[in-house]
This record gives sequence, structure tokens and C-alpha cells, in this order.
Amino acid sequence: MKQTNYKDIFNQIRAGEEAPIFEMYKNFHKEFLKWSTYQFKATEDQSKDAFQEAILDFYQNVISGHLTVLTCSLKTYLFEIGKHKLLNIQKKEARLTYNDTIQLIDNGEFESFMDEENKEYTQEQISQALEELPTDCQEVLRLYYFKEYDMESISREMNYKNADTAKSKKSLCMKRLIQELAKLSKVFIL
Amino acid sequence: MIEEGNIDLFEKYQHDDLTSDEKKAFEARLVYDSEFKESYEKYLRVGQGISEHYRLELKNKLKDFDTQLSEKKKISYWKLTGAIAVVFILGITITRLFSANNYETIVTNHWKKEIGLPVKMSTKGKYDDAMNAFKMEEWSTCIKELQPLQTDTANYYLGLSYYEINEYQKAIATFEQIPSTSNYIHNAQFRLGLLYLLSNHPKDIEKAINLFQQLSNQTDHPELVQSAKIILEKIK
Repeated sequence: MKQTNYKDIFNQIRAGEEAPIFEMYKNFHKEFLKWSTYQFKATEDQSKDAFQEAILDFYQNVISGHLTVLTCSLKTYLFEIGKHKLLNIQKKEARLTYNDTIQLIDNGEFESFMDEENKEYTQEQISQALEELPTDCQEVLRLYYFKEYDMESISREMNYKNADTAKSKKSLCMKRLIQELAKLSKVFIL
Repeated sequence: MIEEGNIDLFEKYQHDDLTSDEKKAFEARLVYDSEFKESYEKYLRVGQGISEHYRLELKNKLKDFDTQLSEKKKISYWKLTGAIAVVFILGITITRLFSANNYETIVTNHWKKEIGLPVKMSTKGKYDDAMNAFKMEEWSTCIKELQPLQTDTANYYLGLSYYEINEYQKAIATFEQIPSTSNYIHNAQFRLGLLYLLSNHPKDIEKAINLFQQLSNQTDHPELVQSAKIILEKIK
């Protein structure tokens, strides 16, 4: 990995391979753990969480096409994202500790907390509804929303006739997903 | 709720499949129709939720991978520790076996047979029965005869008798009772040194070295001095 050109990694990720992210994790996670423990007094769990998030951001930035060129080394890039992820994790944990200890939530935070709870669909419900869909639907939605493929690429990947077919399939799958979510919401309300 | 009838419209807007007028109408509705806007936001939120679901799935794979790496590290650590322990134990065993064999050879080569005290035919001495047994190599009889006597001479021959029947600890204890003023002290110390070597214990080896060093510095028994020096060279 250390000798691999970052462009090769970009190409592999864009080609749909996940192997490079595991390779990157293997190569850099120990160093990040040492660095973040020393620099930011991070716990092992915080450090691992932050670095995993950094790797996932890198992955999504590459597949979405937001990241096409690296102006620094891959390690520097990952460490920089990891640092910000870590600081956010530490802030979040400090806030939760504060709430738990003092049992005080100021108005702003309380509203924000309630907004989160009042969203019609929670992440758990969305995940549960996705599991209820047929495999091909899950795959189409994964390719579109997570891998950010365009319809042309989805049609190629899924062996559909053309982009329009992929578009219709995706629309159908979204309807099914929303139906599943509606069912779950009713159960939740009852 | 996201109305089913709106889903097609949201999809078309998302894929830029609306005509220019339809697109303008859609965007205007987002401004004046709050329910429509809310419905569209929920639709977008579902899209984010799908992305988040697969991100979490990939993150779980990374977590599992991390666990695997930690387990491999632990296994490697235990393998390495195990290997070091085996090499260490083997090393000690081989060294001790080699040393034990080496010390046994030294003792065998330097343990001189005593002929025993002379037994007079004309008068009966207190060591006669013991010495007759000693010369006949009847060690249990010899020990039985010597034990009650409680003298330096008796103890010296008693120690020799114990050695012959491989009772090395008893032999050591007996030789150790001989005082420094005794005529037998140098011989007793030399044999004590040899017996300490036989035990092959680091502390006893140290005692043996001290004894042989003391013996090599004294002048009364040149034969013992010579032997002590040879042994010291071999064991150091």
C-alpha cells in the first residue's frame, strides 16, 4: 500500500472495490492510535472510531467524485480528517457527560434533541425497512445513495437494459421502501 | 407522511427529468406549500438514511477487521511468548543436563577411595568393626558401627559410606559436622565440594567454588591443592 500510487487506490475504489480501505486501515491505524493518544489524549475506542470514520469519508469522497486529486500524502489526508472526527467525538462525549451528570439541558439543546426524536423516520426504521426489500432493490438503492452511481452505471452494474430502466427500478424501490416505513411508523404509533 | 403520488414527482425532480416549466412549478411549490416541502424533506431524509445504513454496514466491517487484527496480534504475541518459553526451558534443561553430566564426571574422577584405618590384630580398637565393614564395602554395617561414635574420624568415614550408597545429602550433612580444627577438615571440605557439585544447584555450585578456592590457597595438602585447581578450571 505504501508504494501504491493514490490514483490506483482511487481507481480501485471507483471500480467498486472495498479492499483498499481495509488495506489503508491496516497500514495506518496503529500510527493514528499512537498519534491521537499522545496529541489529543484520545481513548483507544475514540481513536478507532475516528479513524474508521475518516476512512469512510475518504471512501465516499472518492466514489462521489468530490476527491479526485490529493495535494498531500494519503496518510496526511486521513490523519487530518481523523483529527476532526476525533475532536467531534470528544466534544459530543463531553456534552453527553455534562448532561448525564448535571441533568440540565438548555433550551436550544433540548429542542434539537426533540427535533431528532420527532423526525418521521429514524435511522433504525430506515435500516429495518431496507432489510424488508428484495435484494435487487437494496442493491439499486445502495448503488445510488451510498456509492453515488449515476443511472447509466447502475444499469451496467445490474444488467438492466438502459438508464431509464434503472431509473424506473429505483423509483419503484423507493416507493416500496416508503411503504415499508409507513408500516413501521404505524406499528410504532400503536 | 410522504404521499405516494408525490414520490414520482420527487424522483423526476431528483433525476432532472422535469421540463423547465415543471421544475419551476416544483420549486415554487416548495416555497408556498409547507406540507409539500415537509414531504420532500422527509423523502430526502430517507435517501440520507439509506446512505447512512450502508455506511454503518461498511463501518461494522471495518470494526470486525479491527477485531481480527487485534486477535491476530494477540495470537502472534502468545505464539512468540510460547516459543521463547520453550526455547528457554529447553536451553535450561540442556544446560543443566550437560552441566550435571559434566559435574558427575568431575566427581567420579576426583573422588579418591580411602583404604580405611588400620585394624590391629593384637588389640581391639573402637573403629575396628566399622573399618572391617568399610574394607569389605559392607556400607550399612559400617554406618551402623560409626553412627554412635560421634567423632571427627567416625564422621569422615560415615560421610564416605553415605556417598557409596548414594545418600549424598546425608553425606553432606555429615561432612559439614567436621570442625575446622580437625585433621580431616581439608579432605572433608574437598569431598563436600564434590558433593555440592553433584547437587547441580546454582547455590551449591557457588559453595563448591568457594571451597575449592579455599583449598587451592592452602599449603598442607599439595595433592588436594592440585585437584582443587583443576576442578576450578573445569567448572568456571
